[in-house]
Amino acid sequence: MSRERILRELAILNEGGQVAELVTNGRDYVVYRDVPTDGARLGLPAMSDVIVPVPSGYPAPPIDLAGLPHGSTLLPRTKGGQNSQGIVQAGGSTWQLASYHPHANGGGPPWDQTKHGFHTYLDHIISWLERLA
Amino acid sequence: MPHDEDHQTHDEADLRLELGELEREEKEIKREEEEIKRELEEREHQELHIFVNRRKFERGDGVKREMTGREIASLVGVPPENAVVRYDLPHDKKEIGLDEVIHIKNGEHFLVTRKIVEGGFVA
Repeated sequence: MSRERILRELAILNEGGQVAELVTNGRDYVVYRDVPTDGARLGLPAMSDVIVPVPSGYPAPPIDLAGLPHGSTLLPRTKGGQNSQGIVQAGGSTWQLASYHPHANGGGPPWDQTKHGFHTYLDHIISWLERLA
Repeated sequence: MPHDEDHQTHDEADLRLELGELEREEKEIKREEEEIKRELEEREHQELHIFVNRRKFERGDGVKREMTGREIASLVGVPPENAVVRYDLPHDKKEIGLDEVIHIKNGEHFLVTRKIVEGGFVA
């Protein structure tokens, strides 16, 4: 994993007011804070923290999956949210990963490590939380 | 009276001098104002930027003073037929039409999302 690269990508988002941090708990994750959702329309939270695992060997393999705080009322409404990809502990919280694969038939473009990263993955997370069922 | 006329002539000459001085000063102020205005316009032209999905985009990326929703979507590579463009303000998430032209305010925030979002299947 290229830690420097990830920190550079997160700095791009920080400049735009998006707090995102790299957390480690045996494995590395990126946590995006207060991502906007379409929840208010359904009486659900209008923002949520989101966790994304850093793939082993990053940036060669695509970034994949997304998770919400365990027990989040948004989770059952997200695409792939009812297909748990595991529970993880990181950044002092418990998270549940959903089956969301933006770079593999999830609606996004094929992975290109020269263009994509954790800064562009936010695009897919925002879309994911905007299309609640 | 000749003495009074002399006085009057002097006063008029002084007034004309003062007026000339004031006109010169006024011209100088106007010139400085125009220079400052030009500098501000130039700076704004160079610094024009927006944030899309919390990422900064500048003139070199295609940001202009007037933009369509389609052009904003293209900054983050979302094909227009699959894009929904919105303002990203706490009080305003109004949608922007693909062919709607909006006036860009420097530092403005937008959200571009995909219409198509697919999840994985339940095994």
